[in-house]
Amino acid sequence: MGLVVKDVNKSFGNKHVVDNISFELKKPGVFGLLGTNGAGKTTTIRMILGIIKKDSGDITWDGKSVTRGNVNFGYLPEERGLYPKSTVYDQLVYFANLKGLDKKEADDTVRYWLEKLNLMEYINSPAEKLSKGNQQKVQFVTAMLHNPDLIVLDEPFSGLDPVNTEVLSGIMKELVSKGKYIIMSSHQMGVIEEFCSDLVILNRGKTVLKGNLKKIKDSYETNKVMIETDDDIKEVLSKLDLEIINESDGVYTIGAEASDRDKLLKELVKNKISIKTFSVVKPSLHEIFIEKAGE
Amino acid sequence: MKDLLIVSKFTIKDMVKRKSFIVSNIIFLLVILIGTNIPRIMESFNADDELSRLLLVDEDGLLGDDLLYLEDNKDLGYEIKIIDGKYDRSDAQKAIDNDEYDEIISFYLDKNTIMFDDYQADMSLVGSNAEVIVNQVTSAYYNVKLMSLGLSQDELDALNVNFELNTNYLSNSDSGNSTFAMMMFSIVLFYAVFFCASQVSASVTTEKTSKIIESLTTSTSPKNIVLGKTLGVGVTGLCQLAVLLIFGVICAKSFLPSDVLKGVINLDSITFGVWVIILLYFVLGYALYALIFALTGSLVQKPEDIQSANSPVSMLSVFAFYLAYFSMINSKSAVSVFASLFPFSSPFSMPSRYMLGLASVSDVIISLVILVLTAALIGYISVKVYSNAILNYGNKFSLKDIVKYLKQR
Repeated sequence: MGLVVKDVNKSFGNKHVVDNISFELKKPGVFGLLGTNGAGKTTTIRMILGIIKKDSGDITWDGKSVTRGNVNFGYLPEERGLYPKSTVYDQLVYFANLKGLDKKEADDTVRYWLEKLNLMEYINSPAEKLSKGNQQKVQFVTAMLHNPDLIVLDEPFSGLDPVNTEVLSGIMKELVSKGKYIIMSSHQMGVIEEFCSDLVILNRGKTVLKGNLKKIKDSYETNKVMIETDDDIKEVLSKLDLEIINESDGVYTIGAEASDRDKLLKELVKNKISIKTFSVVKPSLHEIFIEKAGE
Repeated sequence: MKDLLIVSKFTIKDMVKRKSFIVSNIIFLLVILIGTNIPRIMESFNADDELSRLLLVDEDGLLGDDLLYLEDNKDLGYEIKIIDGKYDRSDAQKAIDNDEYDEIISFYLDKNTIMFDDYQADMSLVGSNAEVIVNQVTSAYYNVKLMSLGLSQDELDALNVNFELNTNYLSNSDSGNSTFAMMMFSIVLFYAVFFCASQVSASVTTEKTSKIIESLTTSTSPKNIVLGKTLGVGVTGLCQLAVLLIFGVICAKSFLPSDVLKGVINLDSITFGVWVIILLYFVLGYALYALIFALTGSLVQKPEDIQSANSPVSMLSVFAFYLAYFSMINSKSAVSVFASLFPFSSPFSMPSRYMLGLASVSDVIISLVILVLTAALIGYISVKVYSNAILNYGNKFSLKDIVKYLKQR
């Protein structure tokens, strides 16, 4: 199994919103789809799921085109919405039935997920009576009811409070452990770093970076080191003409090119500075994102 | 097919659980119940009513005792007192002010004319029955004059001929249904079709504006959504109409006096075949309009835009309805035939024409075929436009957009 997106293009009028995008999910896990607003993330997701037609390119799951019939997928759209007047139970059973579950299976699954997401008290409430966060959780359930193989989550954590973020994080980890393929779009870099092994960053419809997150980070030249010590190292830094970028409770972030790092470490040892930690600071995803997707 | 039924089942459940649906149906049932009991209610009021007190003044003593029989006659709506002697406006004013009488009619002979003066406190909503009294007095005066000519009682009776007008309607229909009743029937069909169909538009717009549509389109096809919704709202509307009609017929048979509907509508003439034709036109007429409303609903970006999006459809349906309605005034005209074949007006025209005996079974079949083909074409266009427009949250749509959506794969 696996998803392959190859040379996909989409234009709306004269605007080329997705420009020759390609990526692959060859093993279970979470794949990150990043980009600024209007980068083409949601359009890419909609094309993957066949909600809108692509202009060119191929999107396949296990070698077959992605359709409701070929792929068992679940989708949490960016545009949140439920039937405002219908009860949580009624609309979840409705979606479960549409996804092929019979009456008994639908009832069991709906109750299982509502229990799991602490929503049982709202089972007979109209959706309009629920908070925004709880409505979002109910909509997440609609994507999970039929135990999908491919799960597409467009901004799943936006609008959730820390408690619900934790609940959803736990479920995501559980899904990964069960071998699910997840595509997640998010603006929250921390979330992407926590879950995604691979990612693609889009900017104005174009791929600006893609690949394994660790490898991407490793490939980045860094000019920062982090030193944790209880001693004063300012004299040593001054001698080597190195700049302190940040200092907090004995943790220093220092600007140092690769050639300066060895000199710095030798000088610290020579000056009998007691070092608790000396590490090269890798760039955060946030920094990479700003560099690649920022103007 | 399974998904289509799931969508319609959910649509039905969603509709019938709504408070507005429950309340409006209770109101409809109450209106029918009260409406069919109006004759009884009025009768009970009339039974308790006291007769109006009338003073009839023979100023010139023209008739002597020949009018006294009126004092015993309570069928004229008055309790009558007859006196002789001069009587003027001030006397009448005094009698009315003292609440001695409700109405006073005085008469006198002026050359060859009997002059009547009618005095009332004000213009009553119920109205005066003065004309009947005038006829009675005139008739009595005529008899007195004839008797003075020395005619025998037999000769007198021979001259007193009563006149009665019987109007007979000689249409080909032996159904006992009148054009007026069929016009009313068309109105009911129009409102049933129109209001049911417009619910589809509201339902589609709700899904779009509440953003549920994206989850829905990944769960089933747009065709299933449009047709399932149309079916669901239609079944609900049909059941609603059936309940109201059955309740109406039961109430009419139970509460309405048997002669009230005579010559207007003959409920017994509505045979099973007629019910089938009514049902077919309701279903197809509803499907036609519901599918157009599904199209307009899918084009709307905000709930407040739904009215303007539906305006062209509303105008078309109102035009079609009036075409059917007014053509019934001359139900044999070419316009009436056209209205019963034109697919947008035939649901409101053909059932009535058939019930009046003005359309044959073959006319009905031709009209139904046209209606089915038109509904199928509209359905194809609606599903196509819906599929492409439903996720468009952008600017307001234009006719150009509809053409563009139709051309898209």
